Amino acid sequence: MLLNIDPKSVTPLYEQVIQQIKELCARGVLSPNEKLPSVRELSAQMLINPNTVSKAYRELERQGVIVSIHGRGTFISEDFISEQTPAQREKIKNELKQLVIDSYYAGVQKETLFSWLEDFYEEIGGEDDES
Amino acid sequence: MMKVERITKVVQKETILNDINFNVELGHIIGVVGRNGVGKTTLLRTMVGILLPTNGDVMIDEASIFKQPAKKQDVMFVPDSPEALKQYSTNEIVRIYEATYHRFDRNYFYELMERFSLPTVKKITHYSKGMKALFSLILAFSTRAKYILLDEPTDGLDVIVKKQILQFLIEEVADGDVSIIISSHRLDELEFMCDEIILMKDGSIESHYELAEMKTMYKKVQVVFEKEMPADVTKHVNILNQTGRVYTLIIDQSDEEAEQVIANHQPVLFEELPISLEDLFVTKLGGDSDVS
Repeated sequence: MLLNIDPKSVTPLYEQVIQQIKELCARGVLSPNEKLPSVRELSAQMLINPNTVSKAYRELERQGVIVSIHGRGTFISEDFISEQTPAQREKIKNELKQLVIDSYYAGVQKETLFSWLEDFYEEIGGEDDES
Repeated sequence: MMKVERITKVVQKETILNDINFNVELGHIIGVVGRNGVGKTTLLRTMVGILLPTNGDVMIDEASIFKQPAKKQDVMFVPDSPEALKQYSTNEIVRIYEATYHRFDRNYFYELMERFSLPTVKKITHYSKGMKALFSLILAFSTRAKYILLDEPTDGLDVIVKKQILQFLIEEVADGDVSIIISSHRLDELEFMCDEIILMKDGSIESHYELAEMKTMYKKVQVVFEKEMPADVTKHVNILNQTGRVYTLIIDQSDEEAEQVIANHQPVLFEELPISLEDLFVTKLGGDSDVS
């Protein structure tokens, strides 16, 4: 598993770890029940502080993305997508609203925005509800 | 827990260290940074009892290492080059260390030697610079000391050895029963490795941060005003760089007025940039440009 930390990003390091693991799950690079590297392995591989990685893992576990089984390791949850809390959905909705506002002022057309959305869904291979 | 309590070191009436206080928790990596000659090495050498402080104490689990020398088994100092050992053979050193450090783990030592493909030699001086650096670390961690103090551990090493060393350090700390205090000028390496950073200036601790917290305490921005920078803004910010009308500023987030004052002058551009440890280093310590 390869995470690419962006040292120039304003996003705190542990949040970058969280986002990237979620992204890898969404793209299907990591599948349910797959074993994640240990805190020791991942921090050594990325050359980052082990406590930063444990903090990210704790948060991912709290959000239900991963489960750790004592003595066996850390695994991707069976069905992490359905376990997102209402508060998280609300947060995503607000972020999207902000994005729509920004797009409007930047002169990005609604159609363009939709086509980007399509592209991103394509990219991560996630299914949508239309059939 | 290791506690550095009010350490002061005066040499020939010159104060080298001035009232240094901090704690080292187990399982943490602490970076000590500062300009050359600021007292980093003296601090590390005092923390292991090689030097005696003029005042103050170093405590491990509530016992002074100066009053109870047995506590020194728990701390290990790794100098930037192992000069004292260079005439010995690998096996002689193992015997010396076994006699000195009761918990010296011979099996672990040879396991690590094998892992890093280090041959045993008749004289340590036959090792290359990178091998010497690895060897010193292997020795230090084989003592099973809880607090390992490293002075410039990656100075002058090629990228491959450097990466091996950093990975090794991180793994040792991830296992949880050891702490590392590391003095370095490689701010880019320390930035993501450390739990805490201690910034030293003139023999004192200028600031002591948790790294995650540091990035929320300061903001780096790029600002352009209509004309030159208004005088009342200057009072609230640190100028990191100026190119023409483009200013790069560090804003202390505890100064609530700062951003408002800037906004009042309606800057043409106001953009937040990611802040690095280096930015903070330059802001805090760049004031006097003389090399010491």
